[in-house]
Amino acid sequence: MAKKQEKGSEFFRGQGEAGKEGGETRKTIEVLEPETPWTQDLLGEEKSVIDNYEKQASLSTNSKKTVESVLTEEIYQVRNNFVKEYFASHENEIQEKGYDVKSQDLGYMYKVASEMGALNELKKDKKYKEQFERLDDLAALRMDFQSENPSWNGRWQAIGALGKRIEELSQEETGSKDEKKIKEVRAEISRLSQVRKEIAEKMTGRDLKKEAEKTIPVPSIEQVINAKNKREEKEKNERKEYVTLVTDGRLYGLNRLSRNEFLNKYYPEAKITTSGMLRRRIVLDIGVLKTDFKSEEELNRFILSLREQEKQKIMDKAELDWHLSEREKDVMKKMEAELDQMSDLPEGAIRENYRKVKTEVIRKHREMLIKQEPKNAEALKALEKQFDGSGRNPAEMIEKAYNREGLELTGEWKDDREQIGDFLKEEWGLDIPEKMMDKLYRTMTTKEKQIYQNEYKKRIGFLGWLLRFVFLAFSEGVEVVSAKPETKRKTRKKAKP
Amino acid sequence: MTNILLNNKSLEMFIQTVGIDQEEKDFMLSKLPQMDLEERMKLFDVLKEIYLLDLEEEKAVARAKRIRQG
Repeated sequence: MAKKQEKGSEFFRGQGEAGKEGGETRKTIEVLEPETPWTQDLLGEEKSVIDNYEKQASLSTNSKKTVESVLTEEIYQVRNNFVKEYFASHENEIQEKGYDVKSQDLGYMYKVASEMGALNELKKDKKYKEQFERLDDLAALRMDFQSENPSWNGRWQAIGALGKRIEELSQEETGSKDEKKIKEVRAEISRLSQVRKEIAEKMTGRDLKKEAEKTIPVPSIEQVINAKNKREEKEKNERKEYVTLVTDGRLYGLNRLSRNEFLNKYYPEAKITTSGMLRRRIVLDIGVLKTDFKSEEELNRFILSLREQEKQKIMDKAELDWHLSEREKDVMKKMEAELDQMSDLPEGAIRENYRKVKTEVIRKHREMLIKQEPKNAEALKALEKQFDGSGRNPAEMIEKAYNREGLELTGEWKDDREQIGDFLKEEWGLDIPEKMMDKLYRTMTTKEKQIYQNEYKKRIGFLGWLLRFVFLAFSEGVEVVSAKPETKRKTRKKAKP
Repeated sequence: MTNILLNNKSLEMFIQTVGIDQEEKDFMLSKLPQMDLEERMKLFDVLKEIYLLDLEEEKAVARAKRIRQG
């Protein structure tokens, strides 16, 4: 039955370990490069348009690696679930081909599923749409985070992915009674949270801790003491009584202690020496403080008041520390809540940033328009005539070029010229004679040609180059016949070298 | 012969399509009849850039939501 069982482990190169469920996955996954063949043709997407305008501070290697491992882990989870689902729904076919249908080895299962054409089903079958989309999203984002400087949008997505993982871990923590596991989960939450904070702060230029601190004021010493007194009412009353007893000098007697016993018990740090033959003087050394007392009563009063002050100071400090640590907890809570909100509701921030960038693009153009000299009536009339006629929304044309509809370019002008000419004619309605196409390409600068050769595979790069090419035709006064889009042209096959 | 990319009608449609304030659109529309070829190419580049940002914005919002929700 299991005639092909051995193939799985060879194919996966240790993937079986990573494929296991639960905590073991986390341990091994960082060193493994998962196979994601169904997403490979969707990867390699260039950076966003917005990245041309938003310069991002570089992220630490640790943050990038952490995001990458969180994504890798989920890629495995989604893929493993798919493979299990596939095995369950194709039991007979798998058995007929002589594979071990009962196998639990995810590496083997994945290999079998691949050979059975599962990847094509994943891509094309609507019932797997969500899984396919998820893998595509995760793989594309992971690729972004493997690059030198992850994109602006990728960073937002990473904040969301980390938020999702933190939420899952928090649920694990709540549901667990295993102290060791809880400790591990907390440490992981804290680690992911730190990464999320770094990404969020570098993206927004905000200092989230400082912002949280502003909303939670530092308690004044009066507030601290009041709060303390309220909580320690009983103790405070006892202390009053204690002070009263001390000031009338009856403390030793009441406590049945000698002077030295008293000092030893209440003020062990003090060193007492007697000096002076005639007067029984007592010198109390406490650090740099040296005080001369003429009687024991005086010393008693001083020691006790000092002790009381000292005690008060220690307690006040402890109280303040307590309040500050409580405040710190509140600050961190507030900051995490803000980060959660950024993870959960990024739409507002994303839209706001796009609005900002668009405003900036328009502002520069607007300034240029304002500076322009008005044209005379004759020139206006000529322009009216030149640019009259029926129109077509260029947005549609832009989208077609952006989506590279029907284009399978090679980066070699001689191979691509005809495709590009057909595209311009049929999708953009511009009929540039073939010999003019060559002439225009030759007219382009070396740099412009390089853009074509380097960017022909990229959406934005190719669109930019194509516009440059068309504008060059306009500027050169090439007779561009406006053609009506005709029947849908055939997708060309890639020209062979 | 009219330029299908840069004539008045096409550029008017393009201006109305992009996601910018109506005030900005009105300003561009008011300046359009006075624009020569060079100026229209510059306007086209700006509109193209805004349009790409529009497309990207929608995708970015959708993908960020999907990534978070799982």
